[in-house]
Amino acid sequence: MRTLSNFARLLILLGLSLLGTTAYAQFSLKLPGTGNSPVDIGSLFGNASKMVKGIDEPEEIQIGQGFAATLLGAKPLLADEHAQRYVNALGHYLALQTERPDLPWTFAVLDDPGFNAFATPGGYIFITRGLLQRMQSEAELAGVLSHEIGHVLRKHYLKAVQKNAGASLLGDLASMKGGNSQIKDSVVNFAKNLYSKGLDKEDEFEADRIGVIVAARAGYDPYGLPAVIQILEEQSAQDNNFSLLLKTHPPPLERLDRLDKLMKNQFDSLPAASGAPIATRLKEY
Amino acid sequence: MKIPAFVLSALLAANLAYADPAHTIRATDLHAESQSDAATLAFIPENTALDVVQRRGAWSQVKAGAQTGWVRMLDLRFDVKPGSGSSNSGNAAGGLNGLLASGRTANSGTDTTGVRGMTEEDLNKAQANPAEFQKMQSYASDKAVAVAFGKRAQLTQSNVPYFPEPAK
Repeated sequence: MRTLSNFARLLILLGLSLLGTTAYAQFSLKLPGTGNSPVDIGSLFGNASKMVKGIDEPEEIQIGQGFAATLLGAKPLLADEHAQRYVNALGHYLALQTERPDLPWTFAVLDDPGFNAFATPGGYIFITRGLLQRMQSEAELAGVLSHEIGHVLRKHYLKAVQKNAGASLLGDLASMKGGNSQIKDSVVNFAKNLYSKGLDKEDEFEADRIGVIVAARAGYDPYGLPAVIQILEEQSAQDNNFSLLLKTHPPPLERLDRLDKLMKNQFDSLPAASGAPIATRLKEY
Repeated sequence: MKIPAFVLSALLAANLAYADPAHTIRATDLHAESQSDAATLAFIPENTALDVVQRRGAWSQVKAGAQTGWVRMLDLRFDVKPGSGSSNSGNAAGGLNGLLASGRTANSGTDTTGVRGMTEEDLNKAQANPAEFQKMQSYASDKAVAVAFGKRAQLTQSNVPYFPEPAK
């Protein structure tokens, strides 16, 4: 199931799950829960998990693989094995601090001078080379990765699939026949559109709240993420290296104000490592 | 160990450039050290312009007039940098530009500042790339590597609860 993606299967699953969840949304049919966790995380964390009940975890992973292949079609991997292995070790370590440690967490650095990071369903997470180069400490990078991990934990992209999948995509998926190993254009187009437009602003705020905590659990300075948002605050939206991120996220000032109100001084007594210099880590991995 | 000249110059340039203009969003104390029980050097009113030198955890070291000290980082907001294109902070991570392998798509070696980041157009033109995805999977670390990372980095894990959901 978690071996290499079979994209035909992905598309069938995506089609079925979209149809299923559409029915759920429109007619309030109670589909049998496919809950894969012994804990009712939905009741703890609000509605996000409940809204995507029609899509189970293997389906979520396959959808994520289709989205990841699309992002890699926009920008390839950075040809630096040290950087790739390092972000995987750090990112997976962070993911182990969460309620979904068993996803196939996979991290990658895109060969892109811009400043951005992306997540897909199922635990596939991307940062750009330009972001990595601008990190002042490992704690900042941990903050960014933890924010993206937050999107995966709360299934923000699946929620967007449910909210925005149009009739043509649903039709395409429903009419699809097996045996086609190509990723359907409609899925690629959906992913392209989703990553151009970005998520709901509230989902971004939620990922900020989670990012701070996951980094803190892991032993990192929890102010790494706010420090990165301060970097964003300084940038002009006209700077091409920042414009896509700034367009797809709430204003950095608002993100900082929200974290400011939550964090206060409650982390002062925690161990808060800034981590090794990233340049040192790149030599280790 | 010998530090390549270009890395060194990037580091020096970063240090010189890293005095970012910011302002206080509330009245705050300037402390002698990066902790709240450190001696208070001065009272800084709301909306005071100052320069940020560095950060340490929740604290930013600032130059305020003739004085240098530490204030809570979230009492500050940075001013938007004038101009666009290459930003000063781009080279600040200890010369990472030199240490990362040069981009295979870059036209001009390691010079990245003149090349723009991913845009909507790049996304619009994208075709799925399953081969690249397979390559990505080949770099994934298993749990043992992840656990070993935390041990090697001597990180202390804590059981910190999530923030409560904000009131709607």
